[in-house]
Amino acid sequence: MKRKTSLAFSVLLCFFTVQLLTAGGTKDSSSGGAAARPTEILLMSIGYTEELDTFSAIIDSFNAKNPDIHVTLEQVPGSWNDYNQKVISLITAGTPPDIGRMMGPGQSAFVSRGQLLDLTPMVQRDIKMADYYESAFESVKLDGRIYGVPTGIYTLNVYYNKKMFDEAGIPYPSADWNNPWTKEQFLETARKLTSGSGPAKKYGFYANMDYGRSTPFFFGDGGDTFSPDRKSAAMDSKPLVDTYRMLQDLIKAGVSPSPAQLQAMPVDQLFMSGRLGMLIEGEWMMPPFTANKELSFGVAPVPKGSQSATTINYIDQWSVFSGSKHPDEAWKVVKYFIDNDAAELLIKNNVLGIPVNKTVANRMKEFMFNPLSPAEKDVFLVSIEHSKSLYWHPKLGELGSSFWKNADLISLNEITAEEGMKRINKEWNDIIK
Amino acid sequence: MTPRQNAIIRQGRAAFGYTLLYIVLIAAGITMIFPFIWMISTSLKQGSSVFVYPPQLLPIPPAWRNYADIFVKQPMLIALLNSLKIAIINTAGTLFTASMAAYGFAKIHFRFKNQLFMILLATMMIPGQVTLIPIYVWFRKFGWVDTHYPLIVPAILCNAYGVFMLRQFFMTIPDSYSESAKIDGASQLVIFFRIMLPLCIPAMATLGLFSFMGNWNSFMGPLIYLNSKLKYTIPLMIRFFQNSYYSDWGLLMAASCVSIMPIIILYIFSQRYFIQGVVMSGLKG
Repeated sequence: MKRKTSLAFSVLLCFFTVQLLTAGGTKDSSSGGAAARPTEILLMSIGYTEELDTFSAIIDSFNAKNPDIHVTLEQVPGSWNDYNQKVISLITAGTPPDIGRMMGPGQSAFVSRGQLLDLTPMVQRDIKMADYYESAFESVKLDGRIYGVPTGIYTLNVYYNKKMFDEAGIPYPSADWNNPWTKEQFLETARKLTSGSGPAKKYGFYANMDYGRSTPFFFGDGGDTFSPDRKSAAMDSKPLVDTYRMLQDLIKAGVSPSPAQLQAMPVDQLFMSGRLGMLIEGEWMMPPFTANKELSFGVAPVPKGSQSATTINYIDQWSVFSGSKHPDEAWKVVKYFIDNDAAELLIKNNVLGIPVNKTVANRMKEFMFNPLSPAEKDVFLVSIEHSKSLYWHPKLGELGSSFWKNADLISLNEITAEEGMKRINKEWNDIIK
Repeated sequence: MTPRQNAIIRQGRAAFGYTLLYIVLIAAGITMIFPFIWMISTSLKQGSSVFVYPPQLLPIPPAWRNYADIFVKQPMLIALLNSLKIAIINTAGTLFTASMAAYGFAKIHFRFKNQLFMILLATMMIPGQVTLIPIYVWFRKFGWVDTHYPLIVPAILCNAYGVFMLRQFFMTIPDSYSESAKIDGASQLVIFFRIMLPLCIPAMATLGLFSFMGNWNSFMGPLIYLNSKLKYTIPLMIRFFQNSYYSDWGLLMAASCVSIMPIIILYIFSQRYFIQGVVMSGLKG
């Protein structure tokens, strides 16, 4: 009896061993003898359906024009965290993709681990800067080096609900970046837009605690999250404390919905249903706002602080991983993403914000950011010149959790803005030490 | 009071008690099912009408298009088939191997049995993130990346939780069953398949359900191992309807409804075992 059982087990064991061996074997034979085939490039990207469809179209046109290179698009679902984890796993396992989509905040961690190829020499050799928004290339630089080619630029601007402005009898804000509204005018407008109570309550402005979203307020006063040499945090500097006190006051006064109220309805829905007058967001909100037929909205520059009206930019970029076996071919693909053909596809599908290809952006203005008026389209286009990027520290994740732990307390009015920012500053300095 | 009157009062009290009980149960039932109903309702709404006030339970007109759109915009059908394939193979495989291993640990005496069992349990204590990359490297050497093998083989071969759960159940079956069968000349395999396995159908059903659900909802494994979209499973595909800044709730909920359908169907047909199993494993585990 015992023999029979052990026999059964050995049969099973044999079965799985054979399966293991054959599975390994077949793959080896298929990857051999690839001499005549085109160079395979793996491009990994996260994105929503419209973005990925556009990338796919760009890659198809690249493959058609370059028979010696074959690019495969791998579409990673999930959040940026899921995407980063997958990329890191592949790099650690020794099989990195050749190219990956990268955003400024995520880039520095990869660079600090030496996982991205320095593209500076290639950019200097092949890119004619006059055709592009040079500030985008400036913004992606880390210590003066370029680790990714920017494809799209997002800036934060004020979106406002025109119907609510009309009902409250308030004139629309100026669309001119050289003559924008002041912070005082902006706050006054937010207060005037606030009315009602309960489910009919209308809010003037959404005080987003996220320090990326609140940059326009402290950039305008000359503030920043780090000291100029980036060696220490500047979260408790006056411009930042002032900004967070202002945001806290807006929530306290009921001008802005509180985090608890947003649990019931996401902020984009609040805006689209006509219960939120203004919010500061990026060009990525255009697709849902445009799709909503009942919504009539406009865009305006961010309000001017004591020094300037300055907004933040986020750069969408393609990076080549340093483990890529075909860096030259990968560079060709990355470069293609900002070529005229690709830029046209990006504009036609309305993805990736403002294309970095200035020539095409200016030529195809009529296709971009509809249904905005030409003056409002310029709010987006000109905003690039009034924007700067935030410094994203490699330990972004830790800094973020420290920030939110305290920022939540500020928004719930449990601690003062001064106290909260002081705590954040101390924790940040401990983390980056 | 006559006995008759007494009976009437008692009946009346009982009726009152039942009415109260039913009211409470119905109220609790509605509370439980409301999120599901809301999900279905949202799946039939156009993007803009999801958050209107007052909330609409019955969207008019219902946006049936959402259900067509999710299949057109993404290869949902293929993802559905992939998920079904993996979940069914894994469930059947897990039941097969885990029940045999559990039987061995519970009823057969051999050397180092307890030590081996401890090692098996220890595998449950190691967090998945720690082993993720070594296992990935291993499977890459097999040439299994971008195939369904890494999702199927480990799930079938080492479901420690399943072995543990079934072992606990086998141990409650008295040895006299197998001993009398042994006297009648039955081999271990006959004892296992003809006597022991039929006795633990409720436990197997529970494990089967857990295993099916676990495999159906699994996200990290498929995310790391699969590269081509046509091999993706449902949890991966649903994420394409979400993005960092906003979501099309109608589409997202339609996709979610489709994705939970198999689980709900499974639950309806195996509700009895499911509840039995939870009670049982709760007591024994």
